[in-house]
Amino acid sequence: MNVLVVCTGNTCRSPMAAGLLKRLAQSKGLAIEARSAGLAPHIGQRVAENAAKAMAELGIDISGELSKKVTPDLVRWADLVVTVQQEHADYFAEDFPEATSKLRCLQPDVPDPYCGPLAEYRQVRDILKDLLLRFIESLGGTMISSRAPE
Amino acid sequence: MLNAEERRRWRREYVDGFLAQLRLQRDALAPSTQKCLDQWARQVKLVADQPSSNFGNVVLELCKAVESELASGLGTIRGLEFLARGTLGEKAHALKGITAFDDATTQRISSQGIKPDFVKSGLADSLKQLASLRSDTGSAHGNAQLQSASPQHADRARLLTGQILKGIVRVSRGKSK
Repeated sequence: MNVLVVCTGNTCRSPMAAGLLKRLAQSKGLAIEARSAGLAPHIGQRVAENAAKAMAELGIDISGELSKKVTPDLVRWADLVVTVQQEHADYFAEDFPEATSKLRCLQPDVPDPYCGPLAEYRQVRDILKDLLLRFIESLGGTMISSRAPE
Repeated sequence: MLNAEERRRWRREYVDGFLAQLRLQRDALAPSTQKCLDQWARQVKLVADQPSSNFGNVVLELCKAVESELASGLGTIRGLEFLARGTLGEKAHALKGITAFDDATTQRISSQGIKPDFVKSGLADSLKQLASLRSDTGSAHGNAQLQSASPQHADRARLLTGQILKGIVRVSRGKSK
């Protein structure tokens, strides 16, 4: 299953969530591929330093991620599109009405930690982790083919 | 959390608030300009309180609104057709090149309720400044997204767009407050 995680700038929440989702899926032996993109990104911008640090604490390296815009190709690639804010889901649905059935909103408003201290990024990372665990549970295994844990 | 109707209402109120500051009413603008401003409000809603966002599309929609209003207003006046085509920078350049309007052109501008003095003096500078906020994508009426823009760029674009619209909106098409 391909999952596209979407936020606004694609420098904090969505790359963190995509990194977490890959790790969680891997640990559960689930075949989930995750990517991230933004609805209004500065294209090519590096992921926020504190986002990379907070993720590195879990052994997840997102430091090389560069911000990308949500494109029709990415939307076609995705089986599910996950947002971290209801506003993103609403906006996405207006831009890609044909893909609304793919939409899942993790939570109406995961706070944007942009430019905040590391502690704030850790907090958001932990919120995202909980939400993504629930998201994976909600899939019920019916849509994901299992693979042997690596 | 807003449904589609509430989102439309939010955008409408946001645009009306902007126009009220300019003492303009919505129906004074060309329908295409109203659509551009609706899209502007949509972009504003997306990036509001999201400092990591690229405000490029906010600026772009304002540029499109100005282009639209010029094309449907001043650009229809004989002698000012160049305002209906080309980039904002090209329009500014062409306008700067005019040393004086002849009497007939002045009369045609005035008859639309537009001040010729603004068209002759302030408009070219405002257009030039707005053009400089817009990373030129090489597209005359570019649908392409801007490279990168900050909230400050968006605020500046809003101010310039307000000045321009206030100066060029055809009073005869609607009522000024």
